[in-house]
Amino acid sequence: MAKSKTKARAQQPRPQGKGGASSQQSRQAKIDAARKSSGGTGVNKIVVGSIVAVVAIVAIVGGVIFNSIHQKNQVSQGGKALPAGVSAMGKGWQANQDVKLVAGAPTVAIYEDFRCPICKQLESAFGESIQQLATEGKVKLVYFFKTVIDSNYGGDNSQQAANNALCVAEAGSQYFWKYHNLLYTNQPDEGSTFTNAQFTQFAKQAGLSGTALDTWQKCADAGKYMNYVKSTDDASYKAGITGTPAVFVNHKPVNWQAFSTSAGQPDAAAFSKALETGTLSQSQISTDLKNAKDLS
Amino acid sequence: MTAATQTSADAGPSRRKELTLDVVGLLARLTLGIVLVVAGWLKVGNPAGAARAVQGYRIMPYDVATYVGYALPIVEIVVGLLLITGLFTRFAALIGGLLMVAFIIGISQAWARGLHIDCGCFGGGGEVAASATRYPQEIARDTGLAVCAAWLVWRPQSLASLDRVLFGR
Repeated sequence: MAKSKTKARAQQPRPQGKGGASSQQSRQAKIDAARKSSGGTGVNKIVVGSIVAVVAIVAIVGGVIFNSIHQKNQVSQGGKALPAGVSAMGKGWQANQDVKLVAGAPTVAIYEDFRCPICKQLESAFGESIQQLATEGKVKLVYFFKTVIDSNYGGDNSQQAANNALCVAEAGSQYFWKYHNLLYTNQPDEGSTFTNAQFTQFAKQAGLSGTALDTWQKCADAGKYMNYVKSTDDASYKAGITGTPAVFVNHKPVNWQAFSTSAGQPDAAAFSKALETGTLSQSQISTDLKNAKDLS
Repeated sequence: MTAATQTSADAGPSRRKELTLDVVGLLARLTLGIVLVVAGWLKVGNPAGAARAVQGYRIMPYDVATYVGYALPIVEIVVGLLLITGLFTRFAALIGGLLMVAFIIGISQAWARGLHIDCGCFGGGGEVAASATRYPQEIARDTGLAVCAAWLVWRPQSLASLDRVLFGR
């Protein structure tokens, strides 16, 4: 077979060296001749291999470069603003910065994603307690917004939700708390998204109107804090906080699911006491987060 | 041309055996190839998530894992398409097999180190509840696919392959 292939080749006229169509033609002629003489096996393996290799390398390298640039652009398209009181990208945002803290108030850090179902469980079990401690100044409450569900399902809806919540906070913390609650009570099924109409509707329900609502809408549309939200997700991921929710008090990871009554109900009183005093028993410390570093 | 007549005359059983082995090769190709294409396709639209899935194994530095996450779905699709069409079967199977071995090592080390991650093989990935890990099933599946790859490296000939159509193998 190999012999007849060589023969078929040798019989072909030499390429004219003009390039373009004529060399294309002569190559095709060569291929045809080879195919005739060797029963359909005349395609040059090196040529096919080179084509496949080039296509594969272009696809892989091109894809990686495209994704790198695209991911950077996606963020830079949004705003790069830092929320009030935040000194740098990747740092937490204090939700009760307008409240005078009690002396020695512990720092509570919460890492959350508005679309994460377990965050909703945390919120329904202890959200009210956390909010009360924060508004009374009994703890310094720091949020780190994460985008775990975006990573799992694609898109940037969690990132938008956090951005929009920070936009609401510009109007005042009382609106932020309401918006925070509305996002959780209306959380879409895992993998589904909040709509823009919902985001706006929640802002109205939280009490924004007139110019405050217009300012919020502009902030939401511009994605003013998108870059910041990405930065807290990245920074916390690198610090070992990969899942949500994560709760820390004075940098100790809280096993919040351990706070339940003998009837199996969430024990909000015990939870509040632990956060307020900053003391945890051994079983109240999360082992899942033992290697994580709280960034608050 | 004469080979064909000879075969039918006195090499019937061995030809049937060849055909059987070719069918096994085809099934191995399609199994590994289709799984790779599906796995790549499900991840390729969500590069940020694919990067997170690779980072979740905590083997490579953060930034290296990011680029691996971007590249892996495309590599899977390319290798999967080569296997489905049966072009450069041995080489594609070798790469596919090495990928499976790498995945098995990655999953095993995550299991051994007590990480709670989804393998992220078909999208998703990252941290899950301790009770939601499926390490044994994931390793079993990838081992099965590695066996398909090993078969094709050992015997790349198979039915309905471009290798046969183009190069007569």
